[in-house]
Formats: sequence, structure tokens, C-alpha cells
Amino acid sequence: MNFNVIFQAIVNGLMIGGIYSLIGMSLTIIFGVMKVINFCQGELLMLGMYCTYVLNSKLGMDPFLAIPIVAVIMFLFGVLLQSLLITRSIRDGDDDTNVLFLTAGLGILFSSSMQVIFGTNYRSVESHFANQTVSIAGAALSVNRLISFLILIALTVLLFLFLKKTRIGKQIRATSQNRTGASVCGIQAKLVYACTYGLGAAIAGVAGACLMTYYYVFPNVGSVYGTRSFIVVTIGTLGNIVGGFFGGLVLGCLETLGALVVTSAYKETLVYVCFVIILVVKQRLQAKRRA
Amino acid sequence: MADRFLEVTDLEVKYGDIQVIWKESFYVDRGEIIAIVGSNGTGKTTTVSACAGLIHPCGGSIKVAGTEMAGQTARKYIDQGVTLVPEGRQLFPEMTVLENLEMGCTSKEARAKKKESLEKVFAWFPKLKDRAKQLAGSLSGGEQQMVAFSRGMMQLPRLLIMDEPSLGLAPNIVDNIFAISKSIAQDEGLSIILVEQDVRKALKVADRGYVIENGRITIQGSSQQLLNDPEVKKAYLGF
Repeated sequence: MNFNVIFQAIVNGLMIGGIYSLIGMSLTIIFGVMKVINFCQGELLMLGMYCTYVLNSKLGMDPFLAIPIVAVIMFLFGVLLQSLLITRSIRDGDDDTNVLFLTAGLGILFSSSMQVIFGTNYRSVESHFANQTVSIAGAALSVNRLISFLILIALTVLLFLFLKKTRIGKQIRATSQNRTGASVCGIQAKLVYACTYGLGAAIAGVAGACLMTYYYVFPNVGSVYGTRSFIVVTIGTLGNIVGGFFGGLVLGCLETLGALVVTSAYKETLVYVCFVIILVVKQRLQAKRRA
Repeated sequence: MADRFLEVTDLEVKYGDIQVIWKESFYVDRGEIIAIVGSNGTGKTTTVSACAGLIHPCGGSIKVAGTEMAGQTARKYIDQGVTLVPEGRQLFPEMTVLENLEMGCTSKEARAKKKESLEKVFAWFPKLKDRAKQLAGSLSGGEQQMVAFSRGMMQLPRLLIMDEPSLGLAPNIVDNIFAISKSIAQDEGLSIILVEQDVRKALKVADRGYVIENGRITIQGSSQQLLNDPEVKKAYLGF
């Protein structure tokens, strides 16, 4: 195995990992603020993909150009979902498991609805850059994946600026760090929650739109990415956005390097073995730090 | 009656089915400092949380500057001039001191006057100016209490409620904060409710005081009266 092959695998891994990072960050930001583990994050990504598909097939829009529209639609959808449904299951004194059942149920509802509307066939869109490749230091790279990766970087930077500079962004951080403190400062939890969930849905939607440029959509595609998103946030510590970002990239590289080492049929096995090892090592390190 | 700022009548609070506050009535005039004292778990924090809109009373009335406020949100109380500095400070540990102070500016007025408020705060506590860019979680307990007090003052309150400001702090830091509060009350007409377990210290600063026992106000009067009250002496002052 020469260096070039490994390098190519790492580059591919980063490209795939970019999508994982996005969905991981969207899951982690919702948890950080609302302490809710959102079980329909993968399905939100799937909705983003269908959204892109419709914009492309009905209006002939390039999937990359559709991203801002998908983001806005998914943001509004997330805000509605939070303020109409989820908020009712996270009131004080409610059983904590209520919201888990609710979000898991919503996930099933979303994928079944898409199955009713679009059927179970795989659907794909043609981007302007389809089949084009560039070469970076000897590694061939599809333009679609490269652009997706650049969008990930841009979105992460934007997310940080938003949380650091804007008033609502600061309120989101404040709420995630101390709920009591936030309420004595007059921060309206409802508004912050709606905005956070909307943001989480929008990021998942953008991840879906990016994915759509080189992958296909079907009603259950969300479950694959949903599971991945949980691995990502566990690697990167739940609630930690930077952790989510790098967790996704690590997972992507694990997959492609795994395929290289043990053939692609067993790459999943390797991914999960590595995941378990990471968990154990992380746990040990944390225990050591505490001691 | 003209300068009565907060008037609470027959306040009742329940947590679920369990009633914790029974028929409490008290008031604060403009520029006045009152102390609410009592031992742990008697309902002091619950009482003042209700006065800041954090929990909703199940009975009674809370009038702020003549307006009935019972049942309103914390945000409405802030707009009406009531700000709480909560027990245990409740800062945002991963945000800088400056950001913490900025989060205190909720109302439009407070946001418009942010710069002046910051200057004031830094004049009271020069230490905070040096630490403005530091994360609040990295400060000492005393410095954190300064930030919590200042964050409350950024709101430009007309009634500041301080819940257990002395908890776990060195006496000189507490004295400093109390002295500053007292001078603001005298110079600018700020009303203050001081919730304290340190009864002697609280009554030295306050004009009047209320003693809460098991969710009821049992003794009230001027600070001097309370300090000389045989019951208070026996139960709280230790002689």
C-alpha cells in the first residue's frame, strides 16, 4: 500500500466526514441548549435532500444554488416543529423520555410521508459539476464533494460568528451554559429554543442538500445518517460543537481507511471497533483527569 | 404611599401540590433596603423568585410601581424595573466577563445605555475591568459575585433583589458590595431586597427586615427593632 492510496483515502474520508460533521453539529447544538436528544436529526437531513430534489426536478435549480432556499425552508420547519410540538413535551415536570418518543416518532412519520409522496425509489439530481474532478497533490477529487466540503467549512465559520457576535447567538450560548442565569436575564427560553431547533434543522437540511449532489435520496436514508450522527457526537462529546466538527471528520476517515485495510464489506465493523476503542480511551482519560 | 415601589399582598406559592408560601405580605419603598432573613429552606428564595417573575404565585398580588404583575413573565418584571441577582450567582461560565455583563442588558433602555453602565461597573469594581476578557468560570468566588451584582445593575433596575450574596465569600468582599449597594440606594433611589442567612450583617445594611419561618412572615420591623427582638436574638444572632 503506497502513500498515495492512503492520502486519497484520507481526502475521501474528509469529504464524507464533512457531511457527518454537519449533521453531528446540528444534533449537538440542539442538545447543548435544550438538553434534548433529537432522534429525528437523520430524517431532517432526508427532508433537506427531498427538498433539494423537488427544487431541482420541478424548478431545474442546481442543488448548490438550492442550498439557501433549503436552509430557509428547513429553518422555518424546525421553528414550527419546536414551537408547536416539541415545546409541549419538555415542560417542567414532564417525563424526560416523552420528548425522545416524540422525536423518534416524528422521524418515522417523516420517512413514511416521503414514502407516500415519492415512493421508495432512489432518486438523484444532476449538479452542474457532475463527473468533474480536480486533483489535489495527487489525489483525485470530485468537484461536488470538494464544494460540499468548502460549504461545511464556511457554515462552521458562520455558525461560530453567529454564536459569538449576534444577540440571539449569545442568548443561545447563555441558555446552554446556565438556564437559571438566562431566565434571570430575561432571556425568553421559548424564542431561544425555537431558534436553536430551527438552526439545527437548517444545518441538517444543508447537509442533505450537499449530500444530494453526489448521493441519492430514499425515504430511509435518514436512519443511516442518524446513527452516524450519534457516533459523531459521542466521539466529540455531546453538546460540544468543535467536538462535533472534528468527530465527523474522524468518522469519515475511519470509514475510508477502514475500507482500505479490510475491504469495504467489513469497513463498518472496523468503524465500530474503532468507535468502541475511542470511547474506552476517552472514558479512561476523563477518569484520570478527574482523579 | 406615593413612593411605594413593590407591594406584595397575601402571596401564596405552591410547588405542584405542596404549598410552600402562605399569605406573605411585605413592601419596599423607593430608595429603601429591606432584608428578608430566616434559616435554610424556609422559603426566602421562593418568595423573591416570585417577586422577579421566575415562578408564578398561586394566590395574592404583586404590585410593582402600582401595576399588578402577578403571573407575568420574568421579562415583564425586568421591563418594570425588577432585577434578581440569583443565589449561587448563575453566571455563564464559558462566556467572558464582558459578555456576561452584556447579557444583563435586556430592555431597550438598558441596551442603549450599555456603555455608561459598563463604565459605572468598572468604577465600582476596577478588578473586573482587568478581567473583562477572561471567562467568568475562571474567576474567584468573590469576583463572580461582583459580576453577578454588576450584571443585575446593567439592567438599570429600580428594585434589585440579591439572593444570598454573601454565601461562601470573604467578609470584606461582601462588605464592599453592601457598601456600594447602600450608596446607590441613597444616591439614586434604588430599592433593594437583601435575602440573607447572615442576619446580623443583613440587618446592619437594611432599613427594615422580615423574618420568614416555614413559609410565613413571623416577625417584621425596623432593623433596630429586629436586632433587639428577643426571639430574633435567640434564634438567629446566637445570644
